[in-house]
Amino acid sequence: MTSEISMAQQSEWSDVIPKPEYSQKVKIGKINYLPQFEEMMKYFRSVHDNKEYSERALNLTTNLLKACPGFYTGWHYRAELLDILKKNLDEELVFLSSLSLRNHKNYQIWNYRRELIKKIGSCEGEIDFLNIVLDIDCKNIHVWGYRQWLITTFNLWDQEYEYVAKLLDEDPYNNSAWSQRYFLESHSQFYKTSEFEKKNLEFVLEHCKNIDNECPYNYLKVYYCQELKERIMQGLVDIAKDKGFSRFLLQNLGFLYEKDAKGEMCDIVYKKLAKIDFMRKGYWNWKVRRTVRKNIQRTDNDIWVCRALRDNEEYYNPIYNYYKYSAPQ
Amino acid sequence: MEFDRAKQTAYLLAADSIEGEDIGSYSYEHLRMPGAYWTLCALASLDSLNTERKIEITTWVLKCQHPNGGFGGNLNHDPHITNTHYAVLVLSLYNSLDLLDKEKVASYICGLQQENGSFKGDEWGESDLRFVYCALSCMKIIGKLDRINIDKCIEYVLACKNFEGAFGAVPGAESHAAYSFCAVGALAVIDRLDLIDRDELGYWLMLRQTETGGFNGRPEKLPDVCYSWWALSSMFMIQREHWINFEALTNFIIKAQDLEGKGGIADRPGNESDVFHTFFGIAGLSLMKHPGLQTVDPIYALPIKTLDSIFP
Repeated sequence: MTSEISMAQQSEWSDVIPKPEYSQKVKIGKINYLPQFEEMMKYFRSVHDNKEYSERALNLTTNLLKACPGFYTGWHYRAELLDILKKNLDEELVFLSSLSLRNHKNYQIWNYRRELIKKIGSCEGEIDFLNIVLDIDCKNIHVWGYRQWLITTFNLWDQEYEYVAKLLDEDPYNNSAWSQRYFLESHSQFYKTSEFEKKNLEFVLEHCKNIDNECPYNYLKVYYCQELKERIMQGLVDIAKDKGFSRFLLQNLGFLYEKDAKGEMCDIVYKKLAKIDFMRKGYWNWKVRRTVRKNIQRTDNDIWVCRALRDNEEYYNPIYNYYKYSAPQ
Repeated sequence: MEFDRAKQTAYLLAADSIEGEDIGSYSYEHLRMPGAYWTLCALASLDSLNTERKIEITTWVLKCQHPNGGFGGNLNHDPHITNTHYAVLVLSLYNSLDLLDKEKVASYICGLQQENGSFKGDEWGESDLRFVYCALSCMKIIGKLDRINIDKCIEYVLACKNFEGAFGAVPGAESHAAYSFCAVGALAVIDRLDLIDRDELGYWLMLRQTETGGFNGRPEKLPDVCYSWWALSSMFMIQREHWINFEALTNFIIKAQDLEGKGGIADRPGNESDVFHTFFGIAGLSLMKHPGLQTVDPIYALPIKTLDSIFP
């Protein structure tokens, strides 16, 4: 692990009686530990129980937390030690960052970081560091949570737009980036103004051209309102003409038709979904049964959708689970 | 391939003596309380709870309690709301809630509620939707729910709701199936599921079922057996379980078993098994009424038979 000499042989620790784990007598969820770790834990129990706040205790937490970053009691003890020993917090941040890079999927590390930054009182270098971690794991939920806290606390909104745009450029299937986009959108002073919404809708519709990407299709929901319904419908039909129908595109068509109480169109869309979205076949058949087939005034788009979904000259691509209308438009 | 009841039971009973040589094995020192719950609840569902160890285990659990009423993840580990919840669940499994000083636990949990209705995990302040669920479930089981500010709780839960109708860890966070379980579970405990649009949430959760039959936790992510519990139990709680393809989900969980090796269930087929995923896989199968399993209640994550004795 860290030292080849066992702690029992280190003179520094000669005055401490190591405490074995009581739980070793209890055979449930017991794991056989590596001897060095077990030894460190014995010494930890002693110094922690005796409320010892010393350099050697701090070093012990360093080694333990490197081995086991989920050891939350160790983090608590370490925070107290740093405080009492008046340690340099910037150096602690360096230690934490190095540990985080290897253990980024850990709750405690990010919570500890938040408390540390609160004490330091500055976020300098933080966004750059988070960008490095997100490079490793761009969907890490702890990192995104910490990042949102940082942005809110230190007012880092402006630069985030560019970062999110870059992420979506690199990977439009990153739902965390889409979620962050909504975070920014909904906190913007222009939120719910029509120009802002129209512009953002166009961005989403552009991404909907990847008809197998669930993310932008879920995001359309943000814009379901009276003023933008027509634009969404037109956008979806244009995409369907160009790329075909995926289950995500059809789902959104279904919702729009439902909002307009166009039962006849819903019936057609849900029946097609029952065929191509086999995992949710039960749900779509249930929707078909519940739909009241009202005769409606069909728009040109409605007529095209009807023909496309009913036409016998169909091309169904099972890989992408979409249905391509191949007859002339 | 089938669910191998005998092999999984043997795997769980042997969970005590895992030969861990790889670097991850000793990182579970602080996870003994959750580990105990996952193992014992899974065994209970398999009708194989080791009752002869009742005294040994309940004694250890109680030794993990601190003077302030909270429980740690192991002996002398700091108290935390999640471990307090797990401790109460383990004691429930052994029908030993009478051993608990319920007032002490209640005052520990109450003390963690914050002004905005959320709960801290411990005195150090970490806070997210998990702890609201832990608090409410725990307090309901020990009969002290009236000690919490329920209205504020509700406010916080609803503040975690996103545009998709699903829930994130904290207000503004990405929608996630596990945190959606925490939100739905919290509201179910206090019987306020009327506050959410079940069709909307059910729809988003239904989309978590991938072509493999397994659930993912968020769009465009890989399926994982643990969501067989979190997404599925949520669907049961909001009474939309009939929107799920049970057959496909069952096949996914069954294929994630390690039948060639030591047993257990992994996060997905082909990967290494662990107790955590074994529990969630079994719990998910039990919800779908897989033969030979006691149903685990979707709200409290305890066998229904256990709940019958807690809430007569």
